[in-house]
Amino acid sequence: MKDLTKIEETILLAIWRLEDNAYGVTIKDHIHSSSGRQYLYSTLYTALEQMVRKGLIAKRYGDPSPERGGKRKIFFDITKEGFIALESAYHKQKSIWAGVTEKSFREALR
Amino acid sequence: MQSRFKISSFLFFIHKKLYLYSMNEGYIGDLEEQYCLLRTKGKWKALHWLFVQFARSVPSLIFSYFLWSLTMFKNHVILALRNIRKYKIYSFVNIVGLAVGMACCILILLWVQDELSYDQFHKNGKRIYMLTLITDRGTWRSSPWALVPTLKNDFPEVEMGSQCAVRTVLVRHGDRMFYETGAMVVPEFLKIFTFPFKSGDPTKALDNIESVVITESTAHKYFGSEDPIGKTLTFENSIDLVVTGVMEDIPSNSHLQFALMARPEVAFGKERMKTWSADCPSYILLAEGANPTEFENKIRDTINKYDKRTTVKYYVGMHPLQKIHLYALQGTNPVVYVILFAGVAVIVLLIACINFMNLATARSSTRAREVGLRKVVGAARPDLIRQFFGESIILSIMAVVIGLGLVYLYLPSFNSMAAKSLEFKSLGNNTNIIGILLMGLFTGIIAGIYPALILSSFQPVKILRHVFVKRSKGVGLRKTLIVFQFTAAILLIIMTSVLFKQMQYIRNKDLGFNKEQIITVRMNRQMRQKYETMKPILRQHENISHVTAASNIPLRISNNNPFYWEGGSADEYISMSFACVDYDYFETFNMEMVHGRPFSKKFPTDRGNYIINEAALKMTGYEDPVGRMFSMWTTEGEIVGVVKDFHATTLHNSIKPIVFLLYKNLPYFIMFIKIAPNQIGQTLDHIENVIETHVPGIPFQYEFLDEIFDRQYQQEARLLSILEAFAGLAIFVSCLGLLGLASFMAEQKTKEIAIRKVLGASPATIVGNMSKEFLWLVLAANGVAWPVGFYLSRAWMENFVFKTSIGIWPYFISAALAVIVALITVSFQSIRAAHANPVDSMRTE
Repeated sequence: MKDLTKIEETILLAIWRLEDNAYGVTIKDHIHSSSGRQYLYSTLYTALEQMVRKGLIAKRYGDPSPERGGKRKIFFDITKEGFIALESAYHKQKSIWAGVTEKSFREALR
Repeated sequence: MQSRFKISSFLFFIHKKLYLYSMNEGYIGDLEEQYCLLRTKGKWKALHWLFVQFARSVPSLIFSYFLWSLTMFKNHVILALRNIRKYKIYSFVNIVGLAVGMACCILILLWVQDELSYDQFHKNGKRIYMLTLITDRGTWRSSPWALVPTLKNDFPEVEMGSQCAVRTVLVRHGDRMFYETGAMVVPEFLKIFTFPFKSGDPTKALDNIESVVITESTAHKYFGSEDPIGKTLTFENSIDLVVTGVMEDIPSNSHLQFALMARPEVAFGKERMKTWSADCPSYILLAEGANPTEFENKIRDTINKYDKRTTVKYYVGMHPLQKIHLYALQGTNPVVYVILFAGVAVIVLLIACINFMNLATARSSTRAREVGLRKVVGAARPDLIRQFFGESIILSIMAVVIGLGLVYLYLPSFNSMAAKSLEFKSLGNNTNIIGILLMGLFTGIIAGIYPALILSSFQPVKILRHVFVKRSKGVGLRKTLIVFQFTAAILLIIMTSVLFKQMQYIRNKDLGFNKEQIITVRMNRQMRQKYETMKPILRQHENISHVTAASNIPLRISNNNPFYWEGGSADEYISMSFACVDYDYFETFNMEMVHGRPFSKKFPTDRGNYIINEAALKMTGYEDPVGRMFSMWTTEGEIVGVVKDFHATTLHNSIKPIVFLLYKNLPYFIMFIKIAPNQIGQTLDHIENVIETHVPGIPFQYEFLDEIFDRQYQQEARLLSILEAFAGLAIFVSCLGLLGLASFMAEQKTKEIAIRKVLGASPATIVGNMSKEFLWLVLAANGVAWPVGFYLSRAWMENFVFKTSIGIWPYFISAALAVIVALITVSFQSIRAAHANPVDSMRTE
């Protein structure tokens, strides 16, 4: 199984955090507030589309609203495969960064 | 919240169009939601944000359409190939059409490249200029011998200079004897121009007057594999020259072409080289930093300053080396053709692409079901777009390969048509390879846009219910394109017929003298000396009726000198062409004398007298010319006769005044022998024997005068064959386009045809119906082509002073041809449509 790309990882974590309320606007804002990265909607949706196709997340339709010009929201939920992928990414990350602390950087930069 | 601002709704609209995935709703909805939030903070802030979103997303969205992730790539290739196999005939026709267009484009580009590369290989190329002679009768390439040394003396801007007289000379080594093209140059020539040497030193090779430099092939011809340096070649059977250098063969893209170089002293003599006679072109190398225009002004009056033989004004001009091939001194510049052909190449490629597009979408209803199913099973629109692009790029690549193959096969015929020696491997350099790849990619993408977007936009529901969308938009555009293609084809046919007619006219026109059955034999120095002896002996043969000689062929009289005549003041002169002729000249060619008589041995004073033609007579204004005074330079004489005007140059030019002298100013270079039409072989043998007896060791080379005549129109003949080829191609391409349109329309009308059949129409009526529509298109094309053709043919005919009337036939013939071809093409589709079973067509409900 292939590794998650950076943006996929970020999105999955955001969706996880947002639980039931993960759709375009909230995902974008969450990523912005938690990591400082500003993504364009087109980037997000391209990635979301790919992830849906890969089976990492599932989409469901919400209610239409006047602010959206009568269009429905599309909510995203992580699937089982999504969680598995996320878990393996977490472990890989953990093992790569093993033993690194704030102190290590202070020493390296001296 | 509905946006009330036009800008924002426009931006939303674009976003909607760009993002073609299924989650369009969520995407646009999110944009709107955020926009509403931002609106509360300020209208312009929100708009700015929206605009930034748009601007930054566009590139990545477009890119994602073309993104080939590795897994999908293999899939696309398989799909593309499968599709090609499924619609074999269409794919084949499509690829071949595109390949033909590409092959044309490549051939033309090779030609253009070659034309633009003339004389580029000389190191000092940018500072080399040819000196030109400007007279009241036009600008000429020959300039006086003394001009170069004078200029070098007077002006420091002239670093070096050399004359270059290209002449045919007789060369012999041992028993190998041939006529070769030789360039007579002074040693500096080799420093001005860069002709690479294989052996010998270019800076010293021609220092000795009796040296000669030969090309590789010439060396091989005379010396085989031996080293030629130090060996001798005999010139004109009189002078031995030592080979001091061997140079590489001259590439074809050089306006200077010769097999050997020698000193002019050998052929012309030192004395002549000091005179102001203009026998050959001269070239100068301008010093670095000198301003060419200023310098040209400075040297303008040089001839008039030094040559006091006459009051006639001759001016000096300069023509840059690298413009010599493409820019003529007078008349049309060949560079016009280069630009024209480059334009044609682009147009041909464009038309090929458009046809490709049309044919690819032609059978869209058949593919519609495939697309519908695909979408149902989950393909998103971008995937389909990628698939169709992939197909068209693959087809395009196949077309490139086939196109290159066609180029390889047809390059020899193209070379003979265009009189060039283009090589297939010149496609091998980097610019060309990249160009060809880009061309393939470009056509693939351009041609693929239309089908990709249209075919992928089908909605599965509508397709599976077989409610076929009538795309009426596309038809108008296609029809215009077909008209355009046919216009081009008809135009080419018209031009071809016009050109053909003019060539016929030229061939059959009465030139005013008889050119049939006359042999021309070039005479070298020894032959000239023996001419008088040979003449009576030749005339004794029963098959030989006339023998005469002259300084040039009657078809090519163009030497100029000023002439004075009685009744004019000492300052009044006219520059006229002249020729030195022998007795019997006028009789040999059956030229009619209007006044007086031809030169005759009965009158010994004829030696200093003149015969003029009618045009010259008109200039002098004499009513009774015989006996009147006439003179050239300072030689006074009288007019002995006036000959009826004949064509002394090609039919491009009007008949100019000509003066004929008997002997002395120029030697007779050519002997003319009129022979009987039967037993030609025998007669030729006899002539050869006579010449052999009197002038041993000279190869017998002769030409028939009418062959020489035909050669003068080489350019036109070549143009004719090129036009014919292009006309054929244009028809082929137009038919492809028509095929695409016809199949498209046949599809659109299946229901209509079915209903008609049910109501009782016969296949014939149906075919007639369909054909009628296309007939209109062809007629419209005629309507455009005829005026353009008329204008163009008239413009081209301007080249000729003597021309035939065009008449109405070319137009009708081309129209008829176009109509017939169009009908045949359309009939493929219409006959099939007419025989379709109405049950099948209607069953789909």
